[in-house]
Amino acid sequence: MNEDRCIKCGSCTRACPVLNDPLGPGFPGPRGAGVDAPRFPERDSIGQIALMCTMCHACEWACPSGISLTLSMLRLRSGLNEADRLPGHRRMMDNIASCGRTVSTEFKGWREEGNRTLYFPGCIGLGRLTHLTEAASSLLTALGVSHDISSAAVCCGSPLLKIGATGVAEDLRRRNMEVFSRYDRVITSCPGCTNQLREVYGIRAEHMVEVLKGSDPRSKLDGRWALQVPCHLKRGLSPWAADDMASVLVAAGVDVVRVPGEDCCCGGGGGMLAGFPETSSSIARNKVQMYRSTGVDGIITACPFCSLNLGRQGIRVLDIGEALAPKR
Amino acid sequence: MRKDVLIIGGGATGAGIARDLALRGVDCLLLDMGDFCHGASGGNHGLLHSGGRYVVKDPGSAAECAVENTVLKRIAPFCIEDTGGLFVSLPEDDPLFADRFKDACRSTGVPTEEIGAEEATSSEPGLNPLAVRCFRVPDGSVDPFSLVQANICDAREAGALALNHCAVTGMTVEDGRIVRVDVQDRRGRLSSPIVPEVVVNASGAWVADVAGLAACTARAGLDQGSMLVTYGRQCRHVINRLREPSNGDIAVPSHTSTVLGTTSRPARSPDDSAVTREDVDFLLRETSALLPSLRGCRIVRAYGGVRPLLGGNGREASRSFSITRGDAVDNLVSVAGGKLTTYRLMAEKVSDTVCDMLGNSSGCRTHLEALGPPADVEGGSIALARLRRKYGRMASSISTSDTRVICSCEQVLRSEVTAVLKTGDALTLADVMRRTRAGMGYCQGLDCTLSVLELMMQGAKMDPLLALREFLREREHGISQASGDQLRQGLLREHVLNGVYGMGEME
Repeated sequence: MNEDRCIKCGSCTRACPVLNDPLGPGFPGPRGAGVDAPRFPERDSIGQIALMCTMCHACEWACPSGISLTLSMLRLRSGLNEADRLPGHRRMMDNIASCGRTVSTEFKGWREEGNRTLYFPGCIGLGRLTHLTEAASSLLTALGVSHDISSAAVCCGSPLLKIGATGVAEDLRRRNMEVFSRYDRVITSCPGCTNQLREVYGIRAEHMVEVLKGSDPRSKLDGRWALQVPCHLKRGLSPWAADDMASVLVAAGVDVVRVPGEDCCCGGGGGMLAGFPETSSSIARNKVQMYRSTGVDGIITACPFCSLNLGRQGIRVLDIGEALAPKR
Repeated sequence: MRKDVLIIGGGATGAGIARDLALRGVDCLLLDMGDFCHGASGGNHGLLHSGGRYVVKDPGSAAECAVENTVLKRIAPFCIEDTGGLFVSLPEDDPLFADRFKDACRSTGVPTEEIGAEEATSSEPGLNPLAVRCFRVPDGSVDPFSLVQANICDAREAGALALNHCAVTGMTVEDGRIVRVDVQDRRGRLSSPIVPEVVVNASGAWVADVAGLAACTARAGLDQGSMLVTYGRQCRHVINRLREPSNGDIAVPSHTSTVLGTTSRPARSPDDSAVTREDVDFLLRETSALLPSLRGCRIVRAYGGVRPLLGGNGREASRSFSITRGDAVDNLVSVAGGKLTTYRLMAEKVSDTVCDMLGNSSGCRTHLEALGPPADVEGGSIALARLRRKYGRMASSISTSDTRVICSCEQVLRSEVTAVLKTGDALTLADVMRRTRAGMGYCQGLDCTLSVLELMMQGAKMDPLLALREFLREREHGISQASGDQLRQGLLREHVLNGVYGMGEME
């Protein structure tokens, strides 16, 4: 690891959405948790505060020394004791044990037709936001991408890594790889899943934004829309994927309003939504307030976690699949 | 003020003498012109010698180290990390030296065990795989600041008065005796001259200067040694090069870092401790022969100390010590030479001499009575264990319920600084640093200094800008040879202090 490059400039702490939230203090911040804590070998586990990071990578982007703060934080989490597990994270683990996904599955429209492409909506898309999944699926069909939605595919494991349950994540990877072996192409709606499949599984999964970039969808959406650029899309996949998200929407005829701070974390990532729901919604509340002040009709995003967390604050939030879906 | 004994110099030796005499019931006063531990007692490796380093060339000193090593581990385990040490030879080293080393260890009583190179690299993964001969020795890592502080606390509890920042400015000799010692107390606690029965000169590198005040001579060869502080612990054991004692032979893991050293050159004065670019390059080259990962390692700081050696010069000088009575003055005892590891033995011998002069017949008890809490107190938390290492018995008086951290590099709690300020000993930012480690980390005080200063100003009238400049200038010397990431650290520091805070030219 490269924590030894820190010069204490404070760029990471300024960039941290948790630390800068009124409900954030308590979290030692990226430097405290990612750089300082590993220096003390006698301190075997820093406890639950290691779980207060949304894994938004903003600190890592801000760091002029190129320190892998997110990895460092993940390593801290993998050293947590079972006793440090938060109630929300226990529920996630229970759900994984019973249905293979972090939330209970509500989706009914499975498609197992032997297509060569698999659409992998992820746990939130199959549990909490089934309309997001249905919209994305019909958009894919309209674009001529015949696909399966497999009931055998389980959680990608990304949320498990974020809460330090590395063994369970590895188990899920093995189960998914068996399913993936039947397909040539995997498309995801959740940038968290995309990253996990690429970096941990080593398969070239595509995010919806990347699929849409090559096609020419039209939108019938009225009103002015701001963007919530997902952390794991911009700072996980690539900054160009985030640019593509905007240009695809503009090309489709959506009136997109670019606002500063659109690429700041909504507070819903890294296991925070389940682990520290109050902090998570406090971050979302402040973000939504900012969006409201710009007078937009709603927000378009490309991540189920953003949709869920911001949507709970009473503003209209659409996934990019919903924004471009043929029938609304 | 009448005192049985005045001890000049609050390094390890002086503090040890104060404790020893106080435990024997002698009324004594300990003075240091600066802070306790500001000289060679603080400017060293923090290596608790097993004696191994001196077995071949300086067997007397080796035997002293071997005995004192076990005594200190017994009485002061709280400030010692029993890391164990390795003596390792490389293919280019004299193959016969290892055998001489082995024999000499046996005859001097330094416990050693030869192990295979494979066993050595498995217990010390960073070790050069080309290692030829390897020996285990009971070296350790000792926190000298904590050790000296504990001696002072104990001495005070036994009735001694110990004052820092209190300089001896003159001595009046009448009929072959020092009858009056003039002092200048920076805090004005001592207003009248001292009238001592016996004066002990334990001023280390300043021994000749102090003896000079009574028109006496005392000889110490002044020898400068440079050391480097790395980011992080780069080894588990104290690593020594198995060859004739030479430069760049030793790596000592300590707290959050590793101390690499040393060099040796004659010093012009006790303050002549400057480190050169060549020293830094040389130390890195030599120590990375033993631990290859040091080659790319971030060097947080370079510092120098001036060894008060007994006769001879540099590596040839014995590490033993001598106690001399003033030639023309009856009641002056000067002590010179010695090592941090043997400070207690030196203190014992000096105290024996002093008690003889005073007609006090009680014996030494410093090797029998614990200097602090035992090593592993049952049920203690990790935070408390770290506090115990720095503060010994005082640790239990520091609250860990307030978790605010004031120095993030060394994870120093705000409450540690408050507790230290309450003792009244800390006058400067450097004084706080020596006691808490706030400012010793990789940012060298950039992050914590202002917060510490703020706490200090709540309790005392002081010129904050002067205090700040004095401290930061001293820290800056340590990074003047920095390269790589530490150079970036230095540039940021300059930008923040001069550009943002507008503190102007630091020099």
